[in-house]
Amino acid sequence: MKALLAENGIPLLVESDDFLPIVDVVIGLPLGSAWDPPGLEGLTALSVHMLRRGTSAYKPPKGPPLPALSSQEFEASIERLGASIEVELQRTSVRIHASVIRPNLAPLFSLLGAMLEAPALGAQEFLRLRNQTMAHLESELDDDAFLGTLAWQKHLFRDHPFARPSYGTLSSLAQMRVDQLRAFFEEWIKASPMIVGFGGAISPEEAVELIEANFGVRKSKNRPFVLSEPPPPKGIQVAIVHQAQREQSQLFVTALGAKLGAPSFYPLVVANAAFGGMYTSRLVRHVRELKGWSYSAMSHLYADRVRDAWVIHTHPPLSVLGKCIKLELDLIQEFWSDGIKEDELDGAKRHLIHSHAFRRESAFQRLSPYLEAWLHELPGDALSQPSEEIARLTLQDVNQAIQSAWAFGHDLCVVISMSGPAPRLEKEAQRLSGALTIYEPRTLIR
Amino acid sequence: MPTSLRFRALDPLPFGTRLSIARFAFENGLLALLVQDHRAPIVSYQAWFKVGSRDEAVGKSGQAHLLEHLLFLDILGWPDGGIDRVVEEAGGNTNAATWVDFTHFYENLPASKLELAIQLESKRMHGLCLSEERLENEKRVVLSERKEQVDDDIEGTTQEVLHAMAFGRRHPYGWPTIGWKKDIIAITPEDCMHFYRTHYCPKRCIVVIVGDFEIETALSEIAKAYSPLAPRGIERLPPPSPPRWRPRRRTIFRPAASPKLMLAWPAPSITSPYHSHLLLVSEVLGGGRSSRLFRSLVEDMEVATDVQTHLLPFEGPSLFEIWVDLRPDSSIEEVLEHIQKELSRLEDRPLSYEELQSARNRLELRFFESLRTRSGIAEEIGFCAAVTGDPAYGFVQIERCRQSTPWEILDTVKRVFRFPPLELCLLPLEARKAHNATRSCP
Repeated sequence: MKALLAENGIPLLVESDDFLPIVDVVIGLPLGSAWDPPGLEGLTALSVHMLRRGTSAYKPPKGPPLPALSSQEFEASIERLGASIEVELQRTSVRIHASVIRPNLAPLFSLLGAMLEAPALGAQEFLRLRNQTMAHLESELDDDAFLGTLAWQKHLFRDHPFARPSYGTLSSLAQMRVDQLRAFFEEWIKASPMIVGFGGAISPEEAVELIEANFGVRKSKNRPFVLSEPPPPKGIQVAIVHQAQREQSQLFVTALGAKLGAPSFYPLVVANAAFGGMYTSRLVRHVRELKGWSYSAMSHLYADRVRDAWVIHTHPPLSVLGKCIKLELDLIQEFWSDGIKEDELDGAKRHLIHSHAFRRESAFQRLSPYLEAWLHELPGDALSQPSEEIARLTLQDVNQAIQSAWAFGHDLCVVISMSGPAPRLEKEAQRLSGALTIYEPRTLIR
Repeated sequence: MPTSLRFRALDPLPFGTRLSIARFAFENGLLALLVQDHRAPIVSYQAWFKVGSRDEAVGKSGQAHLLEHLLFLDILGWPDGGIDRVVEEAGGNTNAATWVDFTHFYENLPASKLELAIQLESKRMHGLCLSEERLENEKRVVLSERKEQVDDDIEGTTQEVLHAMAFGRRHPYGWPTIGWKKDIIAITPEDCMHFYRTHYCPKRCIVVIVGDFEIETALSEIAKAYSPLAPRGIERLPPPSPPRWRPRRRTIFRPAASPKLMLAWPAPSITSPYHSHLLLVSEVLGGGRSSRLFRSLVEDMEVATDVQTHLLPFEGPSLFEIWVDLRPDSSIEEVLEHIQKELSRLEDRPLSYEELQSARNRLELRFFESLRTRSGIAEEIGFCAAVTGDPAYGFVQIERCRQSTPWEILDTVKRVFRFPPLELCLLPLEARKAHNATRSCP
């Protein structure tokens, strides 16, 4: 992997691999949905998705000028090249992934240059995208996991920006105006530093040439943006999303998760693998293998530049929901108070270390740790040696990290997405003796 | 002293420009397809079985899929904790999938652990020891999977209903691979063991290895590990015949946020050259944001939030499907009328060179993207070998797409869309009253 700096101040990461005749490109920006001003939730999402909704005429620094393209013309041009573009929005980062068949890399880059340097941000297209986003939110009312996630984020993060829905709500979108979006673009996106990662059939020299030909000068530092640590939850919070006529529930049990680059990060990665991150972990063994209560049973440890979430997600049928909640809470209590055991540590470490090769299999994957480190303002190699970091960990390191990260009864949030008559929902909630909120699905997107 | 199977080398096959598939036929019927790729110290080991839900009997749906679950659990000679534990501790991952024409199992492992995969997979083929308790537990897991992926999932529900409409509930492609609920509940240990002994035999198995290994070592390990497997088992029945096409409309009501529309036409087997033409048509109609139906229904008319087109890759008769997720207040009739208009346009005029080239380029990109990892390459080879008989069939299809002319595609369009489609409308529960009132009008 080569790390380079183009003349225009844009850092590049290039992993050359000509095994396949395709090239993957990732353009990363260190800003995300946490930048949404309160009341304008969804503004960052709309702004980055508007980038592909047509471009103004653009004269790139070294290449031929590009005429203005409507949204349809832009999409058709991308697809004609045998290319794809996906915009991925996270809470503190944006990644624009593009893939293309090798012969069409140069014309793709002209389009990417115009997309980032001269998006049209037209009023008509803004209204169209806003309406489509609202229609999408409405259609998500079918998706129990989506609604459950909105509910646990709201309860776990409370008044922190991570609590806000990344794609906004019907009301925040309805009041959004194109001038606000244009101002956000100028203030944050256009002014943002960016990094470009290349993986595949491309040399470092070609990559530098493409960046210098198609992009203007970029700053190396973003404007300061203060993102505080999320406050710990206050005791058990219970939220129920009342879905009509479902066959089974979606159960989320969540707590604050990890912070990238913190000393506790790798110990918590190992702890999570042992608890519910592998098919042979405690959670899967008890909930799926021994009881047969849920086909899916996994825990996920999310990490960001501040603490993100730790999420246990299962789908028990309504007939055993109460028992399954109790089992999961017992497992968490035991995990948080006693930690993991020596054989679990060995199993989790072996799995994470030996499987590392699969997370570096493609050229694109090999770029990821450097790209993530840059996007999260960490030293370049902070995430590049996970196997060595994990190999060093002792049982004491892992169990100390568990105990300092979590305390049972204080840090939990339980969200159940289920159907059934209200008394039954309340009965399940009362067993948990926590603060209870019942949501009708629509209230979560309103 | 363990015995060792004899084998013979078949002609190697090129797999694109960079790789080659070495092929070996073992005396008990097993076929091994080996691809060396030394770029990283890992291997993907996959066992593809020519058995799927189409091999089940009427009333026994879900057997193939349930058996796939059971084959991760109690196998004689496997360590305690089953296959997941040993593979995870070795730093690998393992999983499986079942569909109408195939079942496959895989392990992705560090290269030094190839022997482990060979041992595990060979024992999987003859070591199942099933207890009643284990079966009942796993049936609960499968019923949970069914609830998650079908009963509580709008797309899963519509797929299941549409396929039953298209093929008929007694046609081998008409019942769901996961099985009807009542059939799953009724499966007995004897059913499972009978299905296992009948179909899990060497001549129905293709072993695919892709990655960093030496061919001689792999062959010698396979020859030893699979030697207890005699050349038993029955010949597989040919794929089912196309059902009589009975176009009709059905409306179902579910707790959904907005109406959905699914249309289906009869399509040829994946091995037919016409299948490649339809892949291009699928791209033109619904393959991207500038495709004809996405652009018109989602962007211009703003009556839908999503449009997708699918061409099923079945060995036997297949389906061409259009799925539309409508906006809550949009009219199904308006959407249907527009789709009909687009299909007529497709039948009236051959595709422009530009539109055709765009579709070819997108298919090519997607194909190469699927080959980024060793497991992706192994899956491509295994699927094509099990379903089409040609492990490099993916490249054949890409070449056919490159060679297809607008006039050939037009001809296929006329053949396929001359049939009226099946129409499945899924409406929110609240629409039931209005729907009934409309129907009862004189």
